[in-house]
Amino acid sequence: MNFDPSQITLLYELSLANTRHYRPIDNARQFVNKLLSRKALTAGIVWLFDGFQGDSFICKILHAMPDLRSTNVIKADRVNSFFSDGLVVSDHSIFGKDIDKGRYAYFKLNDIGFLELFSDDESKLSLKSLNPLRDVVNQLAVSLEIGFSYQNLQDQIRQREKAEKSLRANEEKYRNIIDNVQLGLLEVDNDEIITYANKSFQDLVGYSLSEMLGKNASTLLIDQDDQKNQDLLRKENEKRMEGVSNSYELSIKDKHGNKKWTIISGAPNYDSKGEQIGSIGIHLDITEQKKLIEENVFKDTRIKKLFDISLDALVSIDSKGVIFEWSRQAEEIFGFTINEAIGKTLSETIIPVQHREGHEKGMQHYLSTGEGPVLNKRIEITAVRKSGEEFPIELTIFPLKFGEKHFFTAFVRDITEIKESRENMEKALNRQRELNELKSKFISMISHELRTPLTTIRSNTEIANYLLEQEHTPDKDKLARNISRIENNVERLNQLISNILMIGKLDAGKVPFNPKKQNIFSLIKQEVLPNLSAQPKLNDINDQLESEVDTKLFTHVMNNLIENAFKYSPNGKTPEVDLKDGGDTVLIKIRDYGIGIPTEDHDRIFDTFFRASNVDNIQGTGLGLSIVKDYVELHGGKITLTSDVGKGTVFSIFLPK
Amino acid sequence: MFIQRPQIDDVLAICSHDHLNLLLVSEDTEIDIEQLIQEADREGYRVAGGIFPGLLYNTGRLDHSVLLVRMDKTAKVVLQEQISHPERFVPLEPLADEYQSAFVWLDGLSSGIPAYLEHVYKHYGNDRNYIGGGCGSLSLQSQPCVFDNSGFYEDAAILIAMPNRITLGVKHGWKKIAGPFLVNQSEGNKLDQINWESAFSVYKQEVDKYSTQPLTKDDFFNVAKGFPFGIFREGYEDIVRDPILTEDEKTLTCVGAIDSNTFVNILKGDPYNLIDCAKEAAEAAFVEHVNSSLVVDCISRTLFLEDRYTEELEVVHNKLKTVNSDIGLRGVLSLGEISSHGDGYLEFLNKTIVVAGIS
Repeated sequence: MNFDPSQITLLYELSLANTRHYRPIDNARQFVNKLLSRKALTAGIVWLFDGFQGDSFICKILHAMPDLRSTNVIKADRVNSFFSDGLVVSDHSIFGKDIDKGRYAYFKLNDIGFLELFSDDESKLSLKSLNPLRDVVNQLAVSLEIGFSYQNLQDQIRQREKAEKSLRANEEKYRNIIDNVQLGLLEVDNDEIITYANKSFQDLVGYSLSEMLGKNASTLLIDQDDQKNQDLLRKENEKRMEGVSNSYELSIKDKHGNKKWTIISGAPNYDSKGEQIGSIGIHLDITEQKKLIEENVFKDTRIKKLFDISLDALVSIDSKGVIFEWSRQAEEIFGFTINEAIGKTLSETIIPVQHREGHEKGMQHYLSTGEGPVLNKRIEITAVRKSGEEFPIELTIFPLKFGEKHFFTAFVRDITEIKESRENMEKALNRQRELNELKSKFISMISHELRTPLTTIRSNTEIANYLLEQEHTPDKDKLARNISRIENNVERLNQLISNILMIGKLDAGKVPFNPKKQNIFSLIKQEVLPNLSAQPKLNDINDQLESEVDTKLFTHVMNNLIENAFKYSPNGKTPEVDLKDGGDTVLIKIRDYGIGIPTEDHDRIFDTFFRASNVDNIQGTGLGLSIVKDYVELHGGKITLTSDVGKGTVFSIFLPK
Repeated sequence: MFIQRPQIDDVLAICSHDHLNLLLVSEDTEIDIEQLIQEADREGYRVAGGIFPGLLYNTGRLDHSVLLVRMDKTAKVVLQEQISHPERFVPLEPLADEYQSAFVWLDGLSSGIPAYLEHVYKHYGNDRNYIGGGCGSLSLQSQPCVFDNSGFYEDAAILIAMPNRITLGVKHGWKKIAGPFLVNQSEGNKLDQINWESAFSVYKQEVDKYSTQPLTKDDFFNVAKGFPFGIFREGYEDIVRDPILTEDEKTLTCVGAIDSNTFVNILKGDPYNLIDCAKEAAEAAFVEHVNSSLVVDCISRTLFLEDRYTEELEVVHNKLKTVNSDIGLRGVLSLGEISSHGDGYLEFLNKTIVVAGIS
């Protein structure tokens, strides 16, 4: 063969180009570009078969110079027939459409694709000139195949490396997770010899890994005297040896002998062949929770005891008013047992009918607004016992929100007795207060009542003495007036003292009482009227009426009432006396048209030392009506009054016939 | 149109708002290119161009000059910076069909020339003709040498696409005297080994056989300019690579890259052949009426032809006159030439004359 050495150098260069690059695209680029340069061709493309589309190959460009073409398709049978010789020179494109006008040449690149060359100078692409390239193009094909294989291998290696790296990273990650997780992890072999413990477990038990490795887990971590936990662990280990995963609570001891509580989730551990090589236990340290539970149990017990012995009842309800807590004291106060109360609403049990609507509205108001005017304060209200008895209670309600749920707890105290005693005490206190007030008034009045006649007596005595000393013949009339005044005031003092003594006798029940049946009108005419300083009008008199009365006491009653009638009617009409038949009683009315007694004083007008608020400076001791009332009642009768201020007063005496 | 010893104002005075103003500047011109760009920008002139070791006009060389080529106003300028970093290339925007040809001016001392030309051909293919060359200084010192309105760059290229039709003639006339030799180890334009021996020693061994004076480090280019390398190209003259220096008497540095595992011949020039080839190139380019011309001639041809260089220009100019006697022959002396030799792959050439008849 007569061969141009330059052609040989070109083939050699192209051959070397096939050896320089592992990346197929670099190989194709170097080969095509050199071929274009050396043979001054217009275009060169390495096409790759990249799958099928129907019965056609999808052809993808690996390298094109210039890069003016894109993906194309070619019928598979056309490829087979087209490349029967491995090299084809044509005036037309293999794809059936001529992109450029000129000469096309195609080399089959084994089964991976083909090389397309193009020149618009037809003379440059002839079989004769291209035949020498067959081997280097085949070499290109092999080189590309090797390159792709290498690339695939590289990809596989990269993927494997990536996978291994990922696996290592995962292992490292999981080891980190295991080491840093809050759960203690302990691995033991089938003889319970420790083979691994993570950081959390080391922290839990206080041993370092090196201190634990090779040691028997039961011996190291369970107190030898703790038979209960020894037995438990043995039993659970036996289960795991049978391939059973289990979870249980175990008490262990740490390096310093401290008791620790853990929840262990144990599982059998297998090797890659599926042989059980031991077990893995994940330990959740619940020591603190255990302590807390113990503390809480103690607290609960203590609180329950406190509530049980408390005088207050404890009642708790949910947001619907349903009772879920009912203390022993609640049973005692309300009469419902705990079984009768739990699950029922307050309205069904202890709230009186009149309070139920308010209770429901109050609950709804609180749940919608968070406001409750009766919450967190002591209120007095009534409740109902199982017997239906309504009674006073002192109630304190505390709302409690737990999560989204609302609860209410109430302390209830039965204050029936307290309230009664309080009322009694209040009454006694008021009475005492009144008595003190009366005493003050009495002392004031007595000092005034005593001082006034004594002053009069003293002044008249001095005048009489003066008259006797200064005048040889004293004026008898003047002396008589002085002596009369002295006598009157002595009498007044005497009366006053008698009244006081009488009160004392009445209080001590020492008043002589000698009743006898007699005509009342005769008694009035003979014993009462003659001793009065002024005579009342006898208005409506039944002179036939008789009653069993003590003359002295009756006379005192009538005198007192008639004298008062005149005293408190300074400018009014003459007081009147009626004597009537009252059926079972003899009714005596003493009526005046004086200043009257204010209504608010009516109830107390008969009290000792009480005087009506409108008496002003009209003299009186506040003892008269009290004595009158006591005397009437000694007779088994009673005395009432009607009075209008400014119009007058009527006292009615009812004496049994 | 050219201006000798111009000031910036003089250059701007001949610029046109209706054209893209291609400014071919000789390296000995005392013009501040940065300032020229600023002034042009301010005046609203579109400019692009490069710095060259020399300029040509008709039959003579122009020094201290600026040559203006008014290009169609639709001409597009595509700048690519950092051509020595192909990984930073961005895809070129598609060009409309009316752009039939392109000037390519790039940093002639950049190591990124092959990658850039591959990039251009990959995107624009053979659908248009290219002519261009390497810019820079004969001192072979890297420095900014291409520019457009956006700035003045080194290690860069500008592609000016234009609607004009270009007819090319590409020839060099250098003939094989020895080879083939395998460049088995190289890096870009630096050859380490030829035939698995020191590149310098193999080259010197062969050159010394034909040279009247021995090849030495100090006087390297003076001898080597007559003995370039040639890379085989089927049906065409070899692609020439100019060895220009040896730094260590082991390696050789060329204008333009030679890949590893490339066979090269050693070529020898003959003034008659070179001038004849220039004539052939002109005849290929000027086959019918042209509106303008452009010659990109390798600076090393002038160094080799020395006094006879004008003869080369005369034969080209004479041919130009046969198709259009009203226009002048314009050109640059370049650090490497670019053409889509014939209708094929885009190559970077050395010691070659590229003649373009522009319609």
